[in-house]
Amino acid sequence: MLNFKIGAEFLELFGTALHISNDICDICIPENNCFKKSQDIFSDLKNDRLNLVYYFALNENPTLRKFIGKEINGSNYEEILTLIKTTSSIKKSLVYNKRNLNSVKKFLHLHLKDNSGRDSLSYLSSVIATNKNLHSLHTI
Amino acid sequence: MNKKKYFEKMHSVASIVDRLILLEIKKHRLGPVTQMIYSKRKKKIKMRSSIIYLLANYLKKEINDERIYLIPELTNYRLYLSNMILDNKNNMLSNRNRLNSAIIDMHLIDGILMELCYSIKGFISSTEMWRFVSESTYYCHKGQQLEDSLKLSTYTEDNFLDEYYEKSRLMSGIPY
Repeated sequence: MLNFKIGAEFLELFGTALHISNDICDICIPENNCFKKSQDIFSDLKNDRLNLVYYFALNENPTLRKFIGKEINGSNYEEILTLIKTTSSIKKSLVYNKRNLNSVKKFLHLHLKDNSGRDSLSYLSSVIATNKNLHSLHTI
Repeated sequence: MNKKKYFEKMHSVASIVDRLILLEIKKHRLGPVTQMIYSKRKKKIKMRSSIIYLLANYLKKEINDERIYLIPELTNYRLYLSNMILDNKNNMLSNRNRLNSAIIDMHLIDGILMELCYSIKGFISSTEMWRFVSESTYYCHKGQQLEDSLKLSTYTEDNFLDEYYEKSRLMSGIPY
């Protein structure tokens, strides 16, 4: 029978990277042609969910708390984003994201000797790395 | 395999999954919430099903039964339903009929998954396959339980990062 321990470890690292990128994308206000719907913007904030970005933001600027339980819509998106941008939360989250993606790559190089198998799994992490919402935040 | 071919393969796996999921939806008369999930995921890359392909490819094993791609995707559907019930995000399940339908489908999908695991002759044994499905569901809910405790309104600095990584680990590992 197969040993799935390594596979499970890879998925844990890969999944954590996905979680982090998903957290960062929560604060992305998409362009008109983007598939992301308006109700998904600041979804974690609307649902009282503490994600990585909000955690770092709250550490530096507790003012963000005032939006908890308040109606959040297009009229205050910019205000919230501006508040988040006053902190280093986006930068810190992107660093965490990059660190995790690097861990995925290191893990694959350490455990998979077969180049084709390693490359194909590396492509999975490139799906996260090339997310256009994440790229738009790199420019902030 | 080069990157272009890899993405083509991911799309081809996605179209297989779309076709097979639709058959299951019709066969088991799954309700409007599941159908909505299907519409949202149709034509999109199915990451977890692609991992099955990559895993088989890496192990140089043949995929003899395409229904194996359904296992992670249906596990995903089951968790989407569960997540929607728990979150009621955007009041999607405020209507009692829709909520009931989601709960029924969640249990039906459990049965479909078990049936699939025991009928597919895959590159891993049926027992192993079913164990992964059960464990991934269990760990994912443990992760969800932890995530639910991480509230903005009751935020404290204590242990957040440890708990964040723990919930991510629970929701991501053990072939889910």
